[in-house]
Amino acid sequence: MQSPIIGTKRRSSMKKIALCWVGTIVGIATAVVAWSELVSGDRLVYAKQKQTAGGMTTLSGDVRRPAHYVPGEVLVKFRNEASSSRIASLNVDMGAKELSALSMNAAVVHQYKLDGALSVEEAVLKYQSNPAVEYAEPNYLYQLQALPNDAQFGTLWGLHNTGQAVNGTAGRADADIDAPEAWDISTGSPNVIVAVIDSGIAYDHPDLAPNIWRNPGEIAGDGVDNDNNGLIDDVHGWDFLMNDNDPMDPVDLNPGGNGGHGTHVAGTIAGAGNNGTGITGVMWTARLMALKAGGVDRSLSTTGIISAIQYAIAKGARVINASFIGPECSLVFYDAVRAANDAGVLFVAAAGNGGDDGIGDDNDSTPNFPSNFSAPSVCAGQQTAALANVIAVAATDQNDQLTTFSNFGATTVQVAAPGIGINSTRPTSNITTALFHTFDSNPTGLGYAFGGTNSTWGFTNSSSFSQLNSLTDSPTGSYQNNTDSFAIGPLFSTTGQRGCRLDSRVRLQTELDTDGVLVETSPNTGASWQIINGTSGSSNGQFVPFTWGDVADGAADSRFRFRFISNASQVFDGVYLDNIRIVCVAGRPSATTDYQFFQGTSMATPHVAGLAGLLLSVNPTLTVAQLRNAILSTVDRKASLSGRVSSGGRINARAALTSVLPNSTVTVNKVGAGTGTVTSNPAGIDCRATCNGQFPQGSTVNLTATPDPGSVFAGWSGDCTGTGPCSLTPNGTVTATFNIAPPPPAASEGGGGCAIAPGATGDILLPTMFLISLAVLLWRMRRR
Amino acid sequence: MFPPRRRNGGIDSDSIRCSRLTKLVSVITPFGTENAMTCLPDLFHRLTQLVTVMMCVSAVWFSTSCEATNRNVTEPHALAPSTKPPAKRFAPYEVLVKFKGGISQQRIVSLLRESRTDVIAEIQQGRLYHVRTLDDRSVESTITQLTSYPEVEYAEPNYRYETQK
Repeated sequence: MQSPIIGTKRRSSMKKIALCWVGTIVGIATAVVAWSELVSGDRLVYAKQKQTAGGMTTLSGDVRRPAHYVPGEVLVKFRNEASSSRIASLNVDMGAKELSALSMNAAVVHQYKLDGALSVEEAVLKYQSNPAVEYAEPNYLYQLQALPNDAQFGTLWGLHNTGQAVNGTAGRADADIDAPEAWDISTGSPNVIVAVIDSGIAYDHPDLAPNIWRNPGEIAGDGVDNDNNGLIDDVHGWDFLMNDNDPMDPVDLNPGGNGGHGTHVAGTIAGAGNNGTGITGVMWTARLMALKAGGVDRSLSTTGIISAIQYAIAKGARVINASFIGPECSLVFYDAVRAANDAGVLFVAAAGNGGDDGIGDDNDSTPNFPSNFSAPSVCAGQQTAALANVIAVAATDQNDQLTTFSNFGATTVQVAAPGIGINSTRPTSNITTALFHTFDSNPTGLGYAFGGTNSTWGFTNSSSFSQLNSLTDSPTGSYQNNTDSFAIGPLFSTTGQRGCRLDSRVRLQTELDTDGVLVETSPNTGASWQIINGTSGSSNGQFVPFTWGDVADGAADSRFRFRFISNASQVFDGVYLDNIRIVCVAGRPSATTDYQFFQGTSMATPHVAGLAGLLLSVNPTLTVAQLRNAILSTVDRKASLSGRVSSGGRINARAALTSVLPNSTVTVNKVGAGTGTVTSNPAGIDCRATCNGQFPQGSTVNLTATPDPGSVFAGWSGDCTGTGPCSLTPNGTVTATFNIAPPPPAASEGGGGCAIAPGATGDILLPTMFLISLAVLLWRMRRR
Repeated sequence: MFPPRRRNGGIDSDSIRCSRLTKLVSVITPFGTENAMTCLPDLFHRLTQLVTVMMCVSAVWFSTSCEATNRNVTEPHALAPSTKPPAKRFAPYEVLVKFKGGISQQRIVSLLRESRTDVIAEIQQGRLYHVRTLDDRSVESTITQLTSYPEVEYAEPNYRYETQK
């Protein structure tokens, strides 16, 4: 441990040398005692830290890095918030100016900036000696690797893997993205907007709500397009699938349906961190933009996606999460992602889950999009260049192995991230039924209207297929050729409802692909219709549950319509519909039970999107190319990923963050009649000529002042004080004073005495010189 | 009353896609053959095969859309009751068409009318249009027609992408 204040003046006589040393020793001892008391709490914090192999924060024994606190700042808590005049007069004495008053559980902690007359250490000691002060301490730079207090944090192996069993599967320590280590540097920022193009987000989930983006240009619920972007009341985003202002994530409990995909993805990016409940995202704090472009049937159309991309660009998102793929390359889609690239928006895409067989495919030979926009592609016959803003993401497991389902690609997939056994937020399972038709009693009273070409729509009373009745296009046999008939349902309302969808049971037999049933919905009594789904072929004589799709939210006069269409060849039995139902999300998730485990490259992707957000939180000026490079070049390389992803590794959030920390400046001024040099360790400053240095943020810079012959170093001011070595974290300014040396003393040891050579060797030099001086003293006394 | 007069191809699918072209091709898939051929005369069987071969050959000349069609030929279709609908490759009856720069609005309107489409949305003014095919016209044939115009930069289906949970 180094004493903060070392240094005395030269004395010429032996007695003075001796006195000097005694004084110094006493001084050191006093400082050590005071300091050890001061830092005892600090040591406790260090003791709790996880040691990282080779990490920057590994500390051994009691050695602590000097000046690991904000230069020139102290935190003070007064007993019972002593009278303000007393505080004010004390602060004048200290040369302290209040920066902020932090409220902590009814108590107030004051953050002061010192004017430089007192060092931080001196100020702390002085404050502590005042009876009005309960405690005072430097503004330490740590909260090092503090684990968040979220109740289910232990399940988030992807963020922090200690080998714990998650969902019944054990893992391996450190097969994670090093999130706690990254949180030392940043836990996110409300200034970083991450857009989630997906099935929507349960924006009212208590673990997401604090991090949901709000459109600053729009006034909620006033029915006016305040920001003139053509969309009315787009407060949290937009539903580009149903073209309404509610991007709520619908819940579909039918097999294969969407069970809260977008909400899960959003939680992994930025579930509210350290809030005592549920999970945390890679970012504790962010702004999640909810862009719904798909729905309950798990598919997203090109048109919905590109509109969402355009919105994200226009509204300032810096990262887009795209947890979806398809085999088709769309030029329209490519152009939209290229526009995002031009606008500096990163696009993080899932590599895909192995297609129908669920066994990972090689995207190099079986292209999937938008994932493959990350590499040169052939798109609709045209050659398209790789887009610098696209990162394709494969999925790893708790042991850093590529999951069996994950697609890969030595050139087309760039990184891997955790993607199996991922716990995250889930929309509420509390749903309300807006409409439910079983057709079993008085079906004609329900208000259905039939019409169109060759229409034979009606109700069947046969119980051989349905309990008891159902709605069918052809109650008396097969349908006819060249039919385009419809059954329009009665008016229904989704006012005050969110995340609405239409489902039913279906029995189907039609000529495949040419004859079938289409479902359309209208938010305006039938003035305009939107096709939401269509089906044809056979259900093999069975009624099967079928989710038709999403219904516009908040529309008072809605209708649905089933259209039956056939061509000029082959006729079959047609379609039967039963238990037609419109259900919506009701109430908000409870926060205690609304979490669930998912797996997929969809879950790996938001780990990377969240990391990109963290990078932007510390360095908002990063370009997409820099972001991509920071993520790709800092991965933990794994043998299992070699040749499978271009970077050969799984992302490491700490390493990526460290690589993008903006440099900070240390500035040295020299004053006084004397001359000398100030040098830095690490190198960067050699203040004869170079008095400014750029250093990585978070590092410690040690400055050494060396007087020229004929000069003496009189001390530091500014962010350092005293005459000893000056250690500071960057973004500091110090002034070194060099004076003309006094006339040479009669008996001098040539630079010995109490002049402390600055720098790291001071600790060894001190006792050495003490012993030499002692020897000289004894030798001279013996001669007398 | 309800049992069918004859069984169709038995291919379980949930979307109306690729229209007639797919239908003709799908007749000779291993799954389709088993069901459909039992009720077809042998001569007609041969004829259908010939037509199918011709369709496949001609398909090579088509652009993207036929690639999708060809995939359907070899795609195995399960006969078991479906609980999960197969992925839909594109939205039924919808096309995205991009015109080259500097084409007049009148020309665009007349070309879209000529190819029997209705505008759903003008995504990029004067350039990119989201349209609906009319008269039960297939997405493929509409795209083929649109791309034959020199004013059109490209036309493609409204492809669908699936979440990767």
